[in-house]
Amino acid sequence: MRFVFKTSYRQDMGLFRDGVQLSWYVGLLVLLAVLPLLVPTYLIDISMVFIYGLCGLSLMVLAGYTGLVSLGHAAFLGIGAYAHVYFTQDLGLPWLVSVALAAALTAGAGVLVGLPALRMTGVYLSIATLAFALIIQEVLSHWDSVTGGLRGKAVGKAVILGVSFGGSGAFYFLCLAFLMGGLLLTQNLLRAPTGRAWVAIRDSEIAAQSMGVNLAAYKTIAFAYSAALMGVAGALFAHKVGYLAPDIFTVLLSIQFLLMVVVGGLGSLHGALYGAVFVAMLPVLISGARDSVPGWFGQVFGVFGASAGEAVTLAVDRFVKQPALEPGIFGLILALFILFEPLGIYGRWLKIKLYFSMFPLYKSATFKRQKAYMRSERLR
Amino acid sequence: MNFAQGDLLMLGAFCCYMFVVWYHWGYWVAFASSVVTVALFGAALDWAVLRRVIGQPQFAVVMLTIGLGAIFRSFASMTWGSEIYTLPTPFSARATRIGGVTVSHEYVSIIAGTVLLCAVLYALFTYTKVGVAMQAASQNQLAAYYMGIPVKRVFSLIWAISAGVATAAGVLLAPVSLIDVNIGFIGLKAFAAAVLGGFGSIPGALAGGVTIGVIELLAGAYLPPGFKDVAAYVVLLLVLAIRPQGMFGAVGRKRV
Amino acid sequence: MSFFEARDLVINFGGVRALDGVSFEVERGQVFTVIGPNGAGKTTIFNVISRIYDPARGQLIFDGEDITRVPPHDIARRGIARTFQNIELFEHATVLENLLLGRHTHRRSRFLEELLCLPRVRALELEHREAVEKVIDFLDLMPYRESLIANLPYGIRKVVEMGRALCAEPRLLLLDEPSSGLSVEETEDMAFWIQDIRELLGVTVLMVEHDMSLVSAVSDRVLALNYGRPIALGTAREVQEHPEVIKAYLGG
Repeated sequence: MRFVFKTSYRQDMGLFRDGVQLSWYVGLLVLLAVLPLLVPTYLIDISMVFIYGLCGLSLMVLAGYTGLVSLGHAAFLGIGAYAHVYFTQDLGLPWLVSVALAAALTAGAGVLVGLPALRMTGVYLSIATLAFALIIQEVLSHWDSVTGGLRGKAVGKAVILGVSFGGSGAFYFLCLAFLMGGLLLTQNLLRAPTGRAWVAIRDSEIAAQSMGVNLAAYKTIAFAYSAALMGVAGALFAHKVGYLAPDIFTVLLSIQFLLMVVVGGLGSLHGALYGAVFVAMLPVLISGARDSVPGWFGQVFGVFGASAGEAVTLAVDRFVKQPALEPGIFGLILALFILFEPLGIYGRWLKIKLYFSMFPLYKSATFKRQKAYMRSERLR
Repeated sequence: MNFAQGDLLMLGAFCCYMFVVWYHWGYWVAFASSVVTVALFGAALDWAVLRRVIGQPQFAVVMLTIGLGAIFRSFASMTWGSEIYTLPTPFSARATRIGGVTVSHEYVSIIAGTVLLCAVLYALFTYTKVGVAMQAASQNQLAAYYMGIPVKRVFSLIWAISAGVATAAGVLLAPVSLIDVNIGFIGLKAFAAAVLGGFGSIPGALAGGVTIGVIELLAGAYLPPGFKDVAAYVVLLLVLAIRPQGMFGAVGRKRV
Repeated sequence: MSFFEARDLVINFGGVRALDGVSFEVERGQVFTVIGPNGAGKTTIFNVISRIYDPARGQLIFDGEDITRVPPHDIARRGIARTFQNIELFEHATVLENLLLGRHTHRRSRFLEELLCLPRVRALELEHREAVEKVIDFLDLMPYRESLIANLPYGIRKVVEMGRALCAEPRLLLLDEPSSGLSVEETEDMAFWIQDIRELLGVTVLMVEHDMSLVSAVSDRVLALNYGRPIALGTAREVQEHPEVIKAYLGG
């Protein structure tokens, strides 16, 4: 077990714990920088991972750090996307200005949604965000002059200061830059009094209040910042998908973001990124499985004879080819993670690290959950 | 707090549809059977899945039920198909004239069924031992254990009843709103009604429901298209922002 | 003019009158204790001072200012910090992070500055860290600096809670049952700390307590409550020997 030797307070405050951790991240950055040369065909998909990473970051700040679970975050993505396209294509504003304005507009929407948050806790807030998302979906469908209504809107390539970022490589680096910027800014906030106040609100509102945290102000700031990040992600998202339609930003997408945050591991930025990778890769995995799983079943049952194997293959194939299977799989994974690994992928990674650092003295009951009894959180 | 409640309603409606249209059972037989089936399913769900998350913070249960809801919708889509179906009932397309107003039997059945259900539930929770045990178990589980209440069985019973009521609601609703995979989202409007009326108050919930219905009608008549659907949600947001306790309810605070 | 004064506090919860005309004065630099059987309304007084509840009647005057209706988060800024009967620490944070949050009222950086992590923010963070380290020194919390609260024993958590209140550099410290759940040695430590808080840090202490040995050891003045009504006021000995107080505790 390595001992981290601390010689100044700045080390605790800094972004990286020590030189070793910094070198790991530098290595990762180098890998990401040369990735375009190694896997040029997948760059678009990896850009999507970065955009999802921004989305995960946004929801992590709100749900993981401040404890305000939002079930309608896709609505902010939609607002950011449509706003950016409107500003940059219909109004002809410069790209960076448009993104900034879209982020500001989305932040405003975030403040609006946050208003019920100031009075209500927990589930009621989640319901309010869900209602908001449904309202926004309707608005996007019907505001034809700005959003193109149900017909949708085509999105051109990104052009910043005269340089086109339409090519997959350029877009990849653009998304990577924005993700890194988002990570840096968020980490800055989290190690400052604002971030501590957010964590305090999550863990004990009453104690936070008595320590001088203005609950209303900080919850509003959390909503605004989270929505602003989502707005920026929305702008990039618009360029990536190329064609905006209101039925992209559904409740299912919000649930995917929630899945991202829960599966990744609530309460850590690493979790947001792991979750983003997971959720971005999931459709790829599912379609891959759709092609190969029937074959496996067929081989297994082929033991009972060729015709049995074929019949099973056909049946399983018909089962997995249904389009309605995807949301079901998302739901299943979400449920399974809540039941069996509530700390998410990052939590599992920490547990693995702990196992190896304590080997062979690791106690198997280290993370065993204590029996807990339910108490109503609603008082009479 | 169960986000899958609306989806249980949807499952109940589909179940009844299946009994009536696929197996050609009579309406009332199918109604009763589907209530029982989904109630058993609810109890099984509690036994298998929900028991494990009982002591965890509320949002874990919320996420779990969201996941379950998605699974239910997916399952329904795959078993029964993703189109819109109609449920033939003894009340369909029949109406009576009462004092100059044409009253459709379907709507009467809904109102009568709702009132009956509310009365039965109210009686259950207030006057029977089982009902009181349910309230105790949901407020303070450890204390309920100490008092000799078989908490696990009580919770399964709660889920069974809740699923059964959802089924009944779904079957009552089916003639009016038609059955498809997404009717579960009406649960959100129901929540809006409960919030408007105020939590902890059953007459408040009824009043809230009526109010939202009226607001929706007015929105459909006077506002541009598309506003009718979201009227309930706007009301929900406004109520939560301005007067969270609704018309008749009370809001508590954690005791320190 | 006294440092802190409560005048005729009355508060109802449903049909129960939790506080019925409670008045007392606390002088600067005093340790003032409120005692009484369970349900007498002692923690309710604290909750009223922390502005968690609004009193139906009555006033709170702190250092000449009426604080009866200020918003709850303003109380810390004015120099009043409190601990809670059932520990309200931030479970998933380390001791250091909890204590740093205690410094929140002294936050002087703006949102945008924090976002960009300007040098001013770094300098302020170092200041906060040094202030917190002083409190850690004072309360001997050095071995627990990086521990998660969820992993700490109850006695240490109580000390951390008091430390968090001290990090706010209060002028008036409200301690809600500081010795509940502590062993005899820990209670003795607590008595020494309360005396140090008064003498070395110059903080006035308003305390709710059940443990009469601790009360006798540190209190300057004691107020006894029963059913929300004050029944005795004086030094620890006077109150303990008061017939009304004996009746309230022992019945009969």
